[in-house]
Amino acid sequence: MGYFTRRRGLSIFVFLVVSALLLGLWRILYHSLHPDANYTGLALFGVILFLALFNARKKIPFLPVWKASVWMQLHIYIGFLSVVLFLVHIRFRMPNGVFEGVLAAVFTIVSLSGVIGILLSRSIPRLLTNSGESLVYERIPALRTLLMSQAEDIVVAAEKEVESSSLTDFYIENLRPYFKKRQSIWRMLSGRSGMRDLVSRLENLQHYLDTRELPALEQLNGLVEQKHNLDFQYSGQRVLKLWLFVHIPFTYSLLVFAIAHGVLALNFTGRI
Amino acid sequence: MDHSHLLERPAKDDRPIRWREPFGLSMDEADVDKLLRMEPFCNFSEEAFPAMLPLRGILRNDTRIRRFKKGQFVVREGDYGNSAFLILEGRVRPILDSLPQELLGRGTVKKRSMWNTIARVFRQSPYPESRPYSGAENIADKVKDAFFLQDIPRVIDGRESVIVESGELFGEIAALGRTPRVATVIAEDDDTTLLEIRWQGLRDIGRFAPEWYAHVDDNYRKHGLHSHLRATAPIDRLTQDAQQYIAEQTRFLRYGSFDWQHKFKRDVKSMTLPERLKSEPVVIKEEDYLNGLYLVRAGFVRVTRNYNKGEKTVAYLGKGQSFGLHELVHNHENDAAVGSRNTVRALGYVDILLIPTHVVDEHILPALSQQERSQLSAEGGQRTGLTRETNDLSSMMSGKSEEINDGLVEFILDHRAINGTAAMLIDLDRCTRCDDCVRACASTHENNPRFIRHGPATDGIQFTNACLHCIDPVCMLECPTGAIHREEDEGNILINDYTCIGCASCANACPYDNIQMVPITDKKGIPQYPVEIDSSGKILRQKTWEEPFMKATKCDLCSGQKGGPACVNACPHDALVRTDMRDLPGLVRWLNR
Repeated sequence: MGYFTRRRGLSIFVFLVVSALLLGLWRILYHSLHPDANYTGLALFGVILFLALFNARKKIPFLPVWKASVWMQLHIYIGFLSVVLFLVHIRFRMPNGVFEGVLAAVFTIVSLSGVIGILLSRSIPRLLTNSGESLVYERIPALRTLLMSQAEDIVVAAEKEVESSSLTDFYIENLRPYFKKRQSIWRMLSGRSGMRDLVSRLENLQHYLDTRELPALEQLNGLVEQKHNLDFQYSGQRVLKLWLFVHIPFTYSLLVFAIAHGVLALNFTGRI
Repeated sequence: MDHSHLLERPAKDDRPIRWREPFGLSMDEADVDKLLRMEPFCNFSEEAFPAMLPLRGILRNDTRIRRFKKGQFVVREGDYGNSAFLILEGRVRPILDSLPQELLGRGTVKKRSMWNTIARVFRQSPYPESRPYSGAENIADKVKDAFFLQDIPRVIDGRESVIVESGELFGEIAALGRTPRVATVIAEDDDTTLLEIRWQGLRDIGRFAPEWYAHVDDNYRKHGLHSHLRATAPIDRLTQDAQQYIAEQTRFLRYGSFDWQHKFKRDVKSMTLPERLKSEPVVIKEEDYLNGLYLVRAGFVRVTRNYNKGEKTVAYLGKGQSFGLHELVHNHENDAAVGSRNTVRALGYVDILLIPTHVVDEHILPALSQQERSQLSAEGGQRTGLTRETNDLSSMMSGKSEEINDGLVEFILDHRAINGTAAMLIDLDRCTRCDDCVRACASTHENNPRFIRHGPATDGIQFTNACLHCIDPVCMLECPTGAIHREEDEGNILINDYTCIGCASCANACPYDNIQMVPITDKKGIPQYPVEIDSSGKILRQKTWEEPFMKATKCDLCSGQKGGPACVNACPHDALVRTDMRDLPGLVRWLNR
């Protein structure tokens, strides 16, 4: 059994035990007529605050306060625990007020985006690795331009050599738009990039070419595949970044809403 | 032409040059004159040295005179040495057996305090590579605090040690081979006076006075070889006399070029993998007659076996490891002799010690038990299969070897990743390309990351473009000022920003392109240029028409940083590791997590 499997097993076990203890504790509080919502609310706020600290930790990486991977594990499993605490806090009922409804919706978005984030983080890297050379995200647009100019050079050289425009026409009509435009994330990740169609059309083009143009066709084929990898790398890496644009801003909103909710709740219960 | 200005100390605000920072500030012309009248310098022809690099200049700037009291440590086993010592007066005692760490007084590397770590967040300039140019640290004459070996008679009792007399040289193998010291040396007399020569000086003397290297070889046979043999199984089981005899009979073989990096960089661009393999110098070919036991003294060798039309790599061996024992045992035990089971090729520059067959038969094989001989003999006769070579006698006997993907072994050798003591590997199946590692590196190093998250990859493992802190740091070879150096305690390769003259020799020499030249800026982000100064040292103006100051930058493994490398600490997905590529079990564990 590998380290990661062992770690996951242990973490799930600890999560289940702590969740059971929490539920047990809540049942006791609930039946003993303690203000359980105050306790669970405070605990939930503390937990959310701790989870949000992970982002702050990333901003000061040279502080020797645990490795980011330890923070990540805590973030994941305490994040799951926060869902248990949340359910306990709302007593497993749908919130009925507008403010509470919004707060619950924000919490749900943060939690769901977190879960989606984990799933994406665990699946997309493998797809990117299998797709081809790993590329630095910021370099991809420049590499795309480079591929296009390489393709143009190949086409121009071939046309000069054989004095035929078959390859050039095909390039202008089909290849240039392909090289110029980034394929959408959805098309790339759903396997509809259009590369397969383009490759088969390149294959058919052989019928109209001089034999001296065949090496150029071969090279163009290679460039089309490279462009496919560029788009795939770009899309995959973009998705891996985009989910954070949901998770993090909503976390900040959650903190603001949670503070307001706490103040209101304590005010209504006459505690402040 | 008068080159006396080369011996003058240049003004600090001018563009740095070679010998900007001499090794010892106290060296004067009288000291140099005295040295030039002594052995071995009096034997060197000063005319053989070029005017730009005179022997006198080397002695003045690349050496320093140090005085030691009785019992004071000169060097400690395990330290990374950048210099050798010539005994001018008195005697020293190398202790060949290891001393306990607590006796060596090895300190811990000073780390930044928590307060300092937090304060830097506010102190750091927002511009990349911003730093003050003046007021930098002066490293000349920087030596560690004196530390003494206490109760010498008790400590050396039962441990092998020798006395080395005045006129002898020591420490040159570690300095030139860029390897750790193999023995602890203490001063034997009060007022022991040593001439410490930094390795750039050793190299330059050897370049223009070839007899210097012959002297170094003789010296090694006399003092260093014995320690190497004593640490090698099964020679360690032999008597001291037998070991001494083996040392006398051992031949020195050298393969590959000392500055192999240039050929490697060229070959990577112009050759296919099989062509590159074939171009590696052959130590012995499969089926060829084995004329002895081969011990790797420095560098690495690739062990291959013929496989259809090509060769399959089955192992790599490094310092202290050997090959040929299986076959020699087989041939000794059987009538039908076999040749080498493998082809062995030098990776880069390799020093080999060859113990002739008759010496092995007479002295080494009798030290093996009957069971060991039977097992080695049986394996030595096997011609089929591609079982991985094992590295030491205990592994040979247990038959255990680390399970590692064949493709990964080939990859490690093809890219010379084997050279890394802190290679950055990224598990691409776990890496989310978030660049937290890159940002962490930039935050820790003047807002400019010291590595590029890119590099060749195999089987989902990326060998990233970050300094490997090589076993054989060839980047140091051509540095004219010694700015790029190996840290004494931990062996990391660091760049002294103050003495770096921005010549890019190290960046060009790095076989992995892991050193970047960057223009440095002041705290407002404006590039810094050399300045014109008048005779009183007053700055007249910046030479903005010239290139701005460039400095070599690279990963320093966050030396001085609490908690270790920021890149590793910043990775939330456990995808990144800094690993010693010689630690195969550790690598396998990481791969099979």
